[in-house]
Amino acid sequence: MNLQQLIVSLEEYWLDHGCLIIQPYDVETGAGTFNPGTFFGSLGPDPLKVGYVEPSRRPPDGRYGKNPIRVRLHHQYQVILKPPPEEIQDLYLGSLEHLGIDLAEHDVRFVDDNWESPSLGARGTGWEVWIDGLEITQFTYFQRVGGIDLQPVCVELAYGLERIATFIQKVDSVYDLSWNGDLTYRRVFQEKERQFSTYNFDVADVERNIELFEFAEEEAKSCLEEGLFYPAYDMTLKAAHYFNILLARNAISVTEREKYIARIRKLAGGIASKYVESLEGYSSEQRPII
Amino acid sequence: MSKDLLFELGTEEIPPAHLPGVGRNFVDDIESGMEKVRLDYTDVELFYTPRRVAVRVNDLAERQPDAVKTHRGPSAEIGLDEEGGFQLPAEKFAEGHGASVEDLLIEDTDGGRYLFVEEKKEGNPAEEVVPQLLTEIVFNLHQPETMRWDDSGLEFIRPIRWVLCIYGNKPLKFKVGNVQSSRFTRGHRFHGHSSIEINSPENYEDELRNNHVIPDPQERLGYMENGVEERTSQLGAKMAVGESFLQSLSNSLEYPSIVDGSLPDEYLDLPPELLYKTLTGEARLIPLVDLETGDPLSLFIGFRDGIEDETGNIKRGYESVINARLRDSKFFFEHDRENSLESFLPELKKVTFQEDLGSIWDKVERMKELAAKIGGEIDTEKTEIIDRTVSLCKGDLVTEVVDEFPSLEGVIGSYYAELDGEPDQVVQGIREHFNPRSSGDETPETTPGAVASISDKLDTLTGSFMIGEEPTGTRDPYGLRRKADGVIRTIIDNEMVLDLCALVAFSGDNFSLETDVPFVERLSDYFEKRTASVLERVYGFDYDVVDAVMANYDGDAYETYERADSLQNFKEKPELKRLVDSFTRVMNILGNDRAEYEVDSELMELEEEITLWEKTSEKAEKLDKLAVEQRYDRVIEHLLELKEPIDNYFDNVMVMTDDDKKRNNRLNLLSSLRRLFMNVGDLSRIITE
Repeated sequence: MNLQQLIVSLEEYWLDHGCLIIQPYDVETGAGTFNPGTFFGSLGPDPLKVGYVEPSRRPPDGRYGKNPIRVRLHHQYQVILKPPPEEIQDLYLGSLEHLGIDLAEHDVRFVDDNWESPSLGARGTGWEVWIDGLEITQFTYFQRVGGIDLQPVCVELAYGLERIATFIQKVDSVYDLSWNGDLTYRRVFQEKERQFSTYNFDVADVERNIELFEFAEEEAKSCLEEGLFYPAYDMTLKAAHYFNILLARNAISVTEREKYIARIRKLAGGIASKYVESLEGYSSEQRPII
Repeated sequence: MSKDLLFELGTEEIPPAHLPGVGRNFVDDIESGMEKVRLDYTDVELFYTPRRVAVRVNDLAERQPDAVKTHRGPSAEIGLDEEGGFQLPAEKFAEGHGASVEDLLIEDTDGGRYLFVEEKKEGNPAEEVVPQLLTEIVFNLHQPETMRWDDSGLEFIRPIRWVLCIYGNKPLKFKVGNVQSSRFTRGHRFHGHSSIEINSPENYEDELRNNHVIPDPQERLGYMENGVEERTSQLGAKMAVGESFLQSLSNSLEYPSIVDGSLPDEYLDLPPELLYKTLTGEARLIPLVDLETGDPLSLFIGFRDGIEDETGNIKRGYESVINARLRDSKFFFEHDRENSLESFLPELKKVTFQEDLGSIWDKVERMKELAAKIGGEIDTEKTEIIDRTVSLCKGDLVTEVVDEFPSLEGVIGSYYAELDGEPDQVVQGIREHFNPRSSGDETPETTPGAVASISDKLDTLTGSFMIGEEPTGTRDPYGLRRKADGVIRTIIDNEMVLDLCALVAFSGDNFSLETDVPFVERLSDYFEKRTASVLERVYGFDYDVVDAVMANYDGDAYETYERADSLQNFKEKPELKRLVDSFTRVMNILGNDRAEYEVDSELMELEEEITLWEKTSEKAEKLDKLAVEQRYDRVIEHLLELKEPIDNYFDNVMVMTDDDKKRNNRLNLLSSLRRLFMNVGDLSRIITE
């Protein structure tokens, strides 16, 4: 099964289970959690099932395209289920079987790993899912997002697509993965990894990235003052991205780091409260869902 | 009449670190709960796996015993008229308890005569009492973390997905949150049935075993130990990790099956600790070493959750994953090695130690001052070695290996120092500087290691006390108690004569920090408390021995230890007990706060008085000298010789005479005597009974 088929297969499975299938977000994100489908989707009272692919940029994880398993941009398949059905674990495991994995022949474990995103003011309880010692999914019961205790809670499934593909295709390096049968991951991504790693680690202008962070933060604040939480959120994502570049550039000390994170968290918290507050003003047909 | 009760909570995977504690709390609550509802039983058995926590309450009574509850009403004065007839308050009281005035009793109490009524309570059947009790226990169970997963309001460590409850062979039906109880459990997720009927509590383990779940944690661990034993004896190998690793692993599996694999030889050149950490870390594999030589082997053992790995899929999977992880570890190691350990040091300026206390670089600068001071005190010739050790000991904090495996701090730095060609003593000192890491861990053995360790911990303690971060009984976020105990143990084990109070003051001067906290006094007091605790807990001295020597504590932990050691040796000897009795008479008459004055031998008239004074004076110089040499056994032997003169003195001399001059002089003599004893401690605190 090549990577393309893997994505289609997961999409198919979750579509069959009633998910709203949306597209990757077109603003840089560090994980599927930052896609509005999860941030706004997890807040609010209405039931929701949503699934999507999310290219996840993590500048500090880059290795110039040289490390066989660590990359600056990986792909997640993200599913949100609110409220989580009782048989949620079986439902998740069913998706792995749908990919053709015979679970009885492998060692599948739920290894406890509570998740926290200080910049989103979010935390949850859950596990990493391991197959034969390889982490393939983060399985989390979200308890709080944007500083707000969720009611109802939801489950986030974040599949690491490259990880699952290396497992299925039995290759040691992501660059040897088959993307569509003809083309390898190497052809599609390796040069990008090299160039972006060089930019993030060696070239990015620290002053300009700090300015970009502050610009995005100011825009987010003024949007929020106008009650425009969606544009405010895009600006917050941008600020978070510039912050990640500054981290990769090693331009931020540990104490400064905490302060930057607190600034992003403050924006996220403001957006979450504005969003939840606004939901009361809509009829059930018009109420935004993500 | 009694029957067994089986109660199982089926959960999503509970974290293995918390599982045993949750199980124990569960048993405690069941036991106290059954007592509260007055249902007798013989014992409670506990079972757990990551997906279940269960108890079997054996021989649980079928019914609560009948009970009589007595209620007190108004006093006789209010409830009765003069003829003893019942008045309105008495009628109201009886009515309130569903009785009539004829049922009321009049009894004398400490507070006068009162009216009483007895309420007979018929015991309820266990079947009615138990469901509510169990529900309450689940809702209130003490757990290290809890979460929500549905709208029931129930919070638990992980979601509860099924509840099994049978009493005898009858299911008890009730709801725990949104889950309805039944007589059904579930087997292994991939190798058992998803619905298993349990007909009787005693069948629980067998039914589960048939479905590839071993619910008894001891049985599971034993099974794993046997597997390891069998495999390692075939291979001439042993585990490179302790038993506790296996134990924690056993709590993450329902049905452990052994899987062994191998790793490429090229990784055997890595520092062994790095190799082991890579295997035991997230991969949870057991590294093996040669039984004879202790050298790492290119073999490992793992446990899967499920039946034996017949396809070899899992073995291949483990090998591929560990290969990737080792490749990473090797990359980090080699990348670190592109530079010397020394060249990392300037990076320490960027690492914050504590917001108010500067960077790690600043800390190392302070540690160097402190280490030089300690080196001077203990009169060592290794000052250069010590300085080099301290300068380099934090260098590995900014390496990639420590970034990936924080617990290798100190360890990996010593390898780097060795590869850089640093002197052996520096290499060893760096390795030891972080010890003792825990209360059971060993203290540094070399002088550079011990001095670096003390400087490191003392600097942290002083800084923390200066900014008001003192540990309390319930709150110690920086592990300061462990650090203080580490300092004391290192000093004692290395036989270092050091004045901790003076060192604290010196350490404080190294900080460029204004503070209102009287930290020298506070931290010195803290060290005093910890020294007493360490002497008793770590070195096993009796508490009265510790009490006696701490009466004369002056900041020198090693000297205090030596005094305790001698006193403990003599404690069981009858002559010491007799001496204690004599000295207690001295202390009783002196009280605690009498200062010492010159004794005037001219004022002495009685023979016993003169003898005691002569003996005391004769011993004084000798004992002071012996104490300086820390030969406390000899000091005690000398003190024993004073027993007779002391007893004779008290038998014949009236200390509290009316003559002021004589009285004071006699008290002054006893003070001098006390000072002699204080070379060891306050012997009056020794319990002789």
